[in-house]
Amino acid sequence: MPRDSFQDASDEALLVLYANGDPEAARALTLRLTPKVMGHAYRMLGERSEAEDVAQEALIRLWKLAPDWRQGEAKITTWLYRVVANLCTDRLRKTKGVDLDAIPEPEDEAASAVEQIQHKSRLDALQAGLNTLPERQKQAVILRHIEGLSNPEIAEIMEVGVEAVESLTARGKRALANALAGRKEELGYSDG
Amino acid sequence: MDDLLDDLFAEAKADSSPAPTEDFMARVLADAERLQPEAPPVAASPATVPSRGLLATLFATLGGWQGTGGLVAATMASVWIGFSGADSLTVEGLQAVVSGDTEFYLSDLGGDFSFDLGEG
Repeated sequence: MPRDSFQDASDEALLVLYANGDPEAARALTLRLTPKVMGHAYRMLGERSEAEDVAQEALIRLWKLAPDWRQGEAKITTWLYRVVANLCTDRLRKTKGVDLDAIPEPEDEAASAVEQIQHKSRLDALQAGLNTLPERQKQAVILRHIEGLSNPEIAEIMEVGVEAVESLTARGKRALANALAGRKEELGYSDG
Repeated sequence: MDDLLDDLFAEAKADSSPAPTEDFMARVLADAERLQPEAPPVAASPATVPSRGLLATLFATLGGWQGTGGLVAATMASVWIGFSGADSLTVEGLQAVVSGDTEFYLSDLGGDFSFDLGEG
């Protein structure tokens, strides 16, 4: 897929072009927004096909809303993160979270493969740990520590104050640390 | 424990697993194109302001019905004057004036018209 040809244009400006029927804007928005939406959905759900469904649905809502998008009210990414979180919450309520014990143990392979497997295993453990958190804590931790957003941005996405975000991320990190505490050595970390 | 979490977050941030596949990007783009509003026709915006024809522009420039009517009347009058005075503009008419074979003189134009060289 070609690169974004509107590098200097804001998401909001591109959406106006999209609503006016510009096919290049459709392509540029797809290239720009899909990785963010998919990444957030994947980390919230921990499963690719579910994450794709959520990401696709969130973007379909954006395409439909484009002609009526109100400029200046919210950033498009903020709105999308909010939609993704809501869709993920709906799905998570219908299914149970992944049990930490369900994560496969690292297998005994050749030295080069062991590192790769351990890397995968650590990520799986993190995801499983995240899945044990209450949804709001999980969302705040993902947005802050993995997506790398600022607290004010997260506050806007989650529609709470900055202090509430700080509290959610702090409690989320504590709970995550507890969930992973028993697996430190197994994941390649020694005490101390 | 903070080190462990920080390392895990850094690994997760660098992980490319959540990156969308080409197939998925194509699906999203297909949605975007399918749901995109149609572009308005290119000629639509100029057509909203109807353009004037050459005659209409000329008509307006001359001042509408009043201006154009006056101009037409003046034109017709000059055409009539041209035809009615055509005799004096023919070769014979000019010769008659130059040869002096007429009975009209400047002194006939006014009764009191005279030159008095003595005064001055």
